[in-house]
Amino acid sequence: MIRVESISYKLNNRPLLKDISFSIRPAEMVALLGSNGAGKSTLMRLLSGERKPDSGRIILYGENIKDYNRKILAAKRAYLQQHNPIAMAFTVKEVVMMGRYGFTGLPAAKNDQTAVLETMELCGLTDLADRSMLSLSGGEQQRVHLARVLAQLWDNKNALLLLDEPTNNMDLQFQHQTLAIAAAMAKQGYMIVVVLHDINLAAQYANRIIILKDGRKWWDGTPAQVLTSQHIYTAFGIHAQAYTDQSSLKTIIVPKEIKLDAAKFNSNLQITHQPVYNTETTEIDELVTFQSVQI
Amino acid sequence: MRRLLIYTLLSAGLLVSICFSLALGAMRIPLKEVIDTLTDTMGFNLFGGTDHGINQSVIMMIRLPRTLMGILVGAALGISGAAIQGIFRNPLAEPSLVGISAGASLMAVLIIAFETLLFSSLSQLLGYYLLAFGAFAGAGITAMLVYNLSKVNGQANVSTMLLAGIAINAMAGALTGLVTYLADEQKLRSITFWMMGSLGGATWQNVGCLFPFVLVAVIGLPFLAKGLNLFSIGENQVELIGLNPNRIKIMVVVLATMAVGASVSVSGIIGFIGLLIPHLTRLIGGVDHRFVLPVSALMGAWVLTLADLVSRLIAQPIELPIGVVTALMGSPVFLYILIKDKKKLVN
Repeated sequence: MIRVESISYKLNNRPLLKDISFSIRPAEMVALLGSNGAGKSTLMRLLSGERKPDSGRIILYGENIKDYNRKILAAKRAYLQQHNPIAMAFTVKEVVMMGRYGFTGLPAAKNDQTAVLETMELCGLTDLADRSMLSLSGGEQQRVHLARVLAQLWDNKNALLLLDEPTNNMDLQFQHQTLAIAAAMAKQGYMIVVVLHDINLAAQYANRIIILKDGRKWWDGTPAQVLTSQHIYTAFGIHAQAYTDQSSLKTIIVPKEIKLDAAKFNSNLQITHQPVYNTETTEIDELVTFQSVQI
Repeated sequence: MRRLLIYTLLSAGLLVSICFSLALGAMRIPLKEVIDTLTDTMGFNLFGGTDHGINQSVIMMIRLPRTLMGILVGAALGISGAAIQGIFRNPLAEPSLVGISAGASLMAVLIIAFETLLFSSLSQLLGYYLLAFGAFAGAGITAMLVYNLSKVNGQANVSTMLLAGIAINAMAGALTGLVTYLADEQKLRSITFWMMGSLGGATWQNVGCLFPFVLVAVIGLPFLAKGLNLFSIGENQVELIGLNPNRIKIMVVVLATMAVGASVSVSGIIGFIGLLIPHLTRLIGGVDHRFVLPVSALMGAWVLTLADLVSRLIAQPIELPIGVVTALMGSPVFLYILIKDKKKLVN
């Protein structure tokens, strides 16, 4: 399990995370939600060990992650980043195999080929195996990197898998496929932390949801507990209705449409009557303007 | 299978060009005579003749050390070009473009100019290796400087990298120019030679001096191939997958600049080999560094031997500077990469 003990993190004296604590047990799939800048990606970077918290500790299976041996940590934790630029024309298979590089010479290395073939199959990459990464679309590249982090943890079923917006650029089928893979692995004992922007995807696949706002943890619980109209309005500033699907008993969020009138925010479209001045009293006689109407 | 074929073809090509390199030049020596002389010198008497007269001196004193130096310098520039491109995550990072060669030559020139004044005690201690070590230090310092200058948010920025290269090249050029004004006639000649690049100064002594540096790089760098592969998906990924990014970076820079520095100290700045060779290698066999690094060494050795042959033969009896030949081969490749990757290089 992983235990996060009141971590805080500042960047250039700006606090990005404040006193966050929670713990995740094996077989849990946690979705991190929050608006832009709420601290989701920063929290992922701290969980991955890429950045060190200013205070507090992150304990993975009884040991602080900053004290881990690199290779042992690599077998227990993998991290799919939001952006994965690639510099050279590696083939799909070569990139997936990179997930196994840490195990060269270790017993796990025997399973390299199996892990790579199975994860490529799972992520729908078998036909693309020898294609150059530079020739793939953004969604396809994202799938390759997903296969790579899966391959890294393939033979360690209590490992921690960190996915930062894994569904970026993916089509609808693979958004669901990706989260279904994560949920299925969680069932087998993996710990999954996934950052998502789509609340409904989170409600459908995660069995626990944490909402961050302004660098603090605001709510933590099952989708049904956390995803209420009030919470969503507080966290995201949008009105939404939460329903329970009768057949699956999953929570479904339907955000209310925001209605805007272009004339109210584009000054070029505004019909403004020039004020007419009464020359005798020099007071404004008539003022008809739509500008005063609140948006 | 395909890679085995590539290794075989390149080795065969290298062997053939070595034979031509020994046989052709201002004085033609028949191939049979070349082989006879070589085997004789090694102690096997195949064809019965023992006295080869002037042929033996030409081959043993001039052409063989020159050919060996071409092989060593080519291998060094090829493999270190590939390794430096891997670390910078960019196919345009080339020792002579980003200023690493200039840094090496500047140190070499400074050592030549001020040897008697400042470095005499060092010179006694290190002897002939002083130049090589000096050039290595110059190359290493510039490489770290350019790397740190070009790094923005943990990733090497192409334009900063090339601009840093321009700045360092200009600075090294200016300082070298300044030193040439202070140097006397004989030193001047050797300084000019460093700036132009040539294999003409090959002797057994400097081949022997170059050999260990190149050997260490050619053997050591392929061990870092996996780490270099990981660098191409981001420096932070190296750590996440369980390898030590700083160790890889330092080892690559040390080994690559050692090879470049030692090459520059014996043959001056030979440009574009470090750009051309890895690019060709990637075209024929993919970008995996476990393949690119050794093949770049092999192909670099072959191409530089050929380039040297061309530079000797094309305007006989005058010898073209080899840098002219390599620039003629390499700069179109540079332009080609620019055109092909124009969009990608902007960001």
